Amino acid sequence: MQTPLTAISEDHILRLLDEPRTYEQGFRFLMEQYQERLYWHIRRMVIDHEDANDVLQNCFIKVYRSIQNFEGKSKLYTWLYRIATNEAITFLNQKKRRAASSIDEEESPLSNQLEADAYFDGDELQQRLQNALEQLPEKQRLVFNLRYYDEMGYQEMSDVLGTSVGALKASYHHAVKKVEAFIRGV
Amino acid sequence: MMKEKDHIREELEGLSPLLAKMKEDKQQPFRVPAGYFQSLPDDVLRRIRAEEGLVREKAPEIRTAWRERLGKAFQAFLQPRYAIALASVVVLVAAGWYLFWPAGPAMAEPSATLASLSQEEITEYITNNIESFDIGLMVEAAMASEEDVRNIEVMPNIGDKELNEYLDEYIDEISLEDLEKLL
Repeated sequence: MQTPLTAISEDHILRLLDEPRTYEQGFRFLMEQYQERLYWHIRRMVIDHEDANDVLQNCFIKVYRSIQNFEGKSKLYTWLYRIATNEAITFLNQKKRRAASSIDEEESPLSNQLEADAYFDGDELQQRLQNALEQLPEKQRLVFNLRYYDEMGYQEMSDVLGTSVGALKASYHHAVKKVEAFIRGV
Repeated sequence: MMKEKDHIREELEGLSPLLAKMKEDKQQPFRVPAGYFQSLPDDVLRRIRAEEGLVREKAPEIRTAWRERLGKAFQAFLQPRYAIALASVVVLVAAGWYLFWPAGPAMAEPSATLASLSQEEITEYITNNIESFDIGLMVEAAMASEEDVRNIEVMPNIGDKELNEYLDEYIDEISLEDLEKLL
């Protein structure tokens, strides 16, 4: 099936998902509608394309099996972001544990990973930006990514991460300052 | 939406002109393999179907195995030895309850109860419940002669003293062969 050229409304997707007969069609529309935004959100967290693909597929499978848990209190994509974020964090924690418990699987620095990554074509400045982001605490990196790349409002971010708007603003401001300092080599 | 984007840009310019410039120049340094997003929904649905297929295949196996185990256990209880054992347990529990339950009926005299049964009632009970009787016991009963039965009836009434007196009195009349049989 082809990707629809026009955006499908959230309400329409939810109506389709509400009927067993149209469930799969609704789920396909949901994936087509949100896959790119979710993919990039995950990719910026896990960096590697294959990892991002695995995490995104797991995320969609989780959504397929638990869409009935969506209560409609937030926007659908906010709920999807929350699941994707949790999946990405779980993946990163597992990866850290594996690296910590394995002598052979020592993790190579991000700069080496990016140089070897066929799907990264950033210049030196972009590479330094990615290295700077890697230095940030996980939550701060998430906040930075959601604001800087996904252009998400603080209220929506608060819905996704379950953190107060004030704390998110402070976190983003700190993150921006740290990243700039890192890039400038200060 | 535009308002939020403008607000984000202004906020970033205020915080870090360098990052604001980088954002304008190039946002996305990452790429994906060609056709990735076109094939992703199909890939995900294929994975879901495969996983559901595995669950469906496993589920009947589990149900069948569970039913088979239950059926076998039930059949085992229908086997004569288990059936008799189970019946014995039930009878013992029922008898225990009947005899020891504080508010239960007064204790009945078993011999009196048996005595109150007619020969016809006993025969009918045995005929109807023949499957519940222990085969070994029935064979023994069938092989016992009338004399054995009479002896069984008489023997319990003879004490050691009477038996010794009987033997002393008739010892000479008893053949060695019969004596061996008695011992």
